Amino acid sequence: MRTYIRIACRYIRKYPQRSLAMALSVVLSVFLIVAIGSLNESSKNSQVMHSKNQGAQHVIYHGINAEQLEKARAYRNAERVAALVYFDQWNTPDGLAVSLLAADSNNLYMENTRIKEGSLPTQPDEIALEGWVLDQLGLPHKVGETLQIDLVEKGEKRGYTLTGIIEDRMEEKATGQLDAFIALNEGILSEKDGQISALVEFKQGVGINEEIDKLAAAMGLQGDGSENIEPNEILLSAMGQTGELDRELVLLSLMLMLVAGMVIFSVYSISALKRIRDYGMMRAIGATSRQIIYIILAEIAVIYVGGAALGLAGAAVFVQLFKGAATDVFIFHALEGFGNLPLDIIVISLPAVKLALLIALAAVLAAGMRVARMAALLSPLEAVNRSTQDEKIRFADRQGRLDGLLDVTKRVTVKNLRRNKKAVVFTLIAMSIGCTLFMVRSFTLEMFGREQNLFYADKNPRENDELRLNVNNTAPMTLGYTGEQIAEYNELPAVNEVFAAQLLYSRLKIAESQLNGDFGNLYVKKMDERLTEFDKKPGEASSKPEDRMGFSFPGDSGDELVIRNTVMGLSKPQWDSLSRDLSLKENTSAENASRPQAVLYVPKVNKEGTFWGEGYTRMEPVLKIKAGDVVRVTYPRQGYEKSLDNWDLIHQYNKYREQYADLEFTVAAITETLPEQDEFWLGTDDAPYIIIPDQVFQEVTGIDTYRIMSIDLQDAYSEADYKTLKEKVKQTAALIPGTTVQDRAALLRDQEKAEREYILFYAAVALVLITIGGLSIYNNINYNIISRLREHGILKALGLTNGQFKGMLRFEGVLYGAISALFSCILALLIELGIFVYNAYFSYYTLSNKHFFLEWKSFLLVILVNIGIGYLASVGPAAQVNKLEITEAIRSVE
Amino acid sequence: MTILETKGLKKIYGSGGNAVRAVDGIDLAVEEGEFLTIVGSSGSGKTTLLHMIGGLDRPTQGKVFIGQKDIYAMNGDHLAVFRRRRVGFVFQAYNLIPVLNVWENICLPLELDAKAVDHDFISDLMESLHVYDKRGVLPNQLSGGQQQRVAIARALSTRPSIVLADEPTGNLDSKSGLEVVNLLKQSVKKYHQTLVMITHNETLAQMADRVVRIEDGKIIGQGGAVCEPISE
Repeated sequence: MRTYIRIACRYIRKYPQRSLAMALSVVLSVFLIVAIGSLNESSKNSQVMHSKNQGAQHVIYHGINAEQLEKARAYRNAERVAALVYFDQWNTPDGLAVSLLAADSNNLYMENTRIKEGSLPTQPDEIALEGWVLDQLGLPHKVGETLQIDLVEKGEKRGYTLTGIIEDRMEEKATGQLDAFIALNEGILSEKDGQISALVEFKQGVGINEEIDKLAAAMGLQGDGSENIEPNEILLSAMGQTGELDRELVLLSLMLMLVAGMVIFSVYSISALKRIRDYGMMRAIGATSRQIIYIILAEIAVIYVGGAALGLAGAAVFVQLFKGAATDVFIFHALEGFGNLPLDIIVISLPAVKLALLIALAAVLAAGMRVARMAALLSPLEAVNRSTQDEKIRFADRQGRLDGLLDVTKRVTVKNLRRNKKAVVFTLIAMSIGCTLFMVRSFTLEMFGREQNLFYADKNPRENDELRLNVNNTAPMTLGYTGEQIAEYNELPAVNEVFAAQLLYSRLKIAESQLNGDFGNLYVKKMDERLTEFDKKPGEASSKPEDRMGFSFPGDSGDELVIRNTVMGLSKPQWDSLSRDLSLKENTSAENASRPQAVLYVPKVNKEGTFWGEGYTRMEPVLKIKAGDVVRVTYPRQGYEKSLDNWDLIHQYNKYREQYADLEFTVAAITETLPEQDEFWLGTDDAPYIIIPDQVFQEVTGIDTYRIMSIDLQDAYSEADYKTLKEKVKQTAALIPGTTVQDRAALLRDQEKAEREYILFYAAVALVLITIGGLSIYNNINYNIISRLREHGILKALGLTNGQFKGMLRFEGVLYGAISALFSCILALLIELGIFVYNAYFSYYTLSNKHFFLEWKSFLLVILVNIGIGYLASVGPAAQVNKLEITEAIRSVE
Repeated sequence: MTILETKGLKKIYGSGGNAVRAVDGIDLAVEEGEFLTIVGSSGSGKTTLLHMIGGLDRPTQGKVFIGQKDIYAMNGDHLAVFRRRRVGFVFQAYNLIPVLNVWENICLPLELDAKAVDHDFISDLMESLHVYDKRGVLPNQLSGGQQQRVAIARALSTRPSIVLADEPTGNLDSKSGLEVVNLLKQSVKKYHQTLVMITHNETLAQMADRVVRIEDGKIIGQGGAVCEPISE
């Protein structure tokens, strides 16, 4: 064995360039698979960790009683059980609603939080809140303080002592979910029997899904259906994916195997062909075929082991650089419901290591076996006499159209290329895989990017604004931010644009015939059902018929219906922009011209009258109103002027209808996009919106304030600018209690970072593939040139000058590159067309933008890279050949 | 008139004690239109001499004049151009370009010089060498004799003043060899060229106007039909 390895090592040293190329292919393949696999697994682990922010429990059992809770606590495979009971709602004077939850200490663990100061409540009159909730409620962070709390359901005011401040829960903070925690005692458990929730975390290593069912059965919940059992899908999904190999990783690995395999195969074949004479000599002096095979296998084994070790080491170091990067980049199918989270955990993926080693082994073995077979079948005499030149030239010597245009040196090159079809095809495939992957990725990225932009422009145009203030719907309708305050923001250097909207919670008077068939009728029915839910709470509110809360009410005439809606006033630039986009219909009749113009937004529903549904669902507008029609809006003008409760004024229409005043607008256009929307229930976009210019809004309603302010920062804003602005926003928000402040700055930064990392990541993958493909081009050109030494010698003997010789080789290199680029471009274009057609017409969600486009930048890059590699590949061999004397070259047999 | 002249031509491989004198001070003059053969045993230095005469191998010492021009005073590219215009080569191994057909191989030196191909002349040349009917065929489809005739046609295609043939019959049977040398001789006569041929076939050597015999890199005899030894 030692002899074989010694000879193998000699060969490796004798052909350093080729050995290096093969080893590099192994290194790069192993590196890429391990790096991608590890980053993938690391990000999944991070996702699992972060998913615990949304709950560390594996399952929640809702609506259980105290006995069932005890069974859960006693269950042998339950690691931890937390009990949680909804106790009551606390309505603050600012109109904010806080849920009072009775919880035990395990809840903090499940919520991935802890007591920051003080302790958890243990007595019935104790309470603990998160810091950000205290801020939102305008309460001091002072343990021991007594809070007077209005309990809505109990209809009484109780004093609670703040015993602890809980660390902020990120999810609740981001969504504005206000909770307060009180002690869970026997009294509450018996009072709320049958309304208890048990959050269960199972022990490690058990089958979670089976355990969920087993525990449910133990608690006697089996027959209850799945409504009471809520598995933590996000955590389970994240957990389920760890340790699994991603389909795309496997695909990528197979591509790498193909590319690297072909490079190793062709390079090794070339290398072995050059030493076939040596094998013949060995055979002639008595070596057996088996011994020759051992030498070959020893050589590829040394290259494989060295290459794989380097690749593994490189990947291990490389992945550490990504600590803190966005996780979405590395999970090919990002978990639904997750944003971009920082990559906190770095692991080396064992399955990826195995896959990489296997793939590289398959590639080197394929090359080794072919050469071994060739060597074994060769007779010693044939091998000794073997020459790779001038033999068996089989190609149709036809004069191509181009031939006439080329000088003789280029013609020789073209003919040699035709003669070496196999090498050309190998090079093309090896090179085009990386290039095609890069081009197709660029195309899909651009395609979905365009679609996303369209989506955001369509569905949520203000999605990219960093800060947003929205006055609470309980604040009197006349309250809001003034034009001066908005102008002040607009003048700040860090601010790019401030979008402001006026809001008026109102009702729309429609004829029943304007409801769009079943879609409209069922919509009204479902919306009414949603509203009656609220009747249950204050109890006495629904005692009188005029106090009924409702979405729709009968109008003044027999077929009139009065439904909920919102009027929104836009500033002039925004109104102009909307008008331009929608090409408003001119008022044609004199009668209509007297009414102000409005843009109407009508919600769309499915055939059940709701807004959701599984799979593809036909959605239709709920109203049949078109441009040119007149719409009548009614709103509780007097009630608003008296600052009565908005909620009651709108929902208890019968009670307050005398205070309502009507407004009429001519519909100038229908929009499917809301430029902004109120985030509160009274301004829901589940009901129609009437959009008008702010000037008209002020004229017809007398309200000159704005309820929504959305601030878009300049692209390159500094951290200091942001902090100053954030402070100012907080102060502005505090002027109207209950105003919500949304801060998307960090999220947007994360998204941008993720996007950049995604592009960089795939560019890196493509770069590695192109490098491997480039090695193939380099080696093939190198071999083609070196193998034609004699031909070059002859040409020089016949008077080929050095300049002509260099030009000839450059032409060959560039031709290889150009053919490879052309092949890659055609292949990529076909795949891109296929992807486009599939996504535009056949996929689950078809593209809105059905215009095919050419992602020309990637094409240009690929053409330049290919031609560049081809050119570079000819430089080395040209210098090598030039060093030889003509007479030496002519004498050469290889 | 002397068309070719060498003065003190030497080619030494290696140095010191390992130095091998392949050509060791050869002075030779060839007249215009002369047919000269160089004979000698294997390793005597005749091919090295021919390569140096043709500008393919730079001498260690000495000079080569073709038409009064010191060819090694030129730089590489000038020498290449000079070679393709003034010198025609015929090699033992034919050295045709495998991917070019017969016509293209013959026209190759002209095309390298970016000169228009004189179709009548090339056709006439091919006719006289009996390869015209093979003009569209690739070299590997021809017999050795045919390949060598194509190589001769290629050597003559630029109407060089001097044709150098390195054992042109070495790979051929005696009949083909004789035929090739006859054709070569007739052609150079027809186109008024000078022919220097290496051979170790004494019969073929006798067909020349003059025979030069070399051994160990030195001329050891020269003369007409009978080679006269040169006394040291």
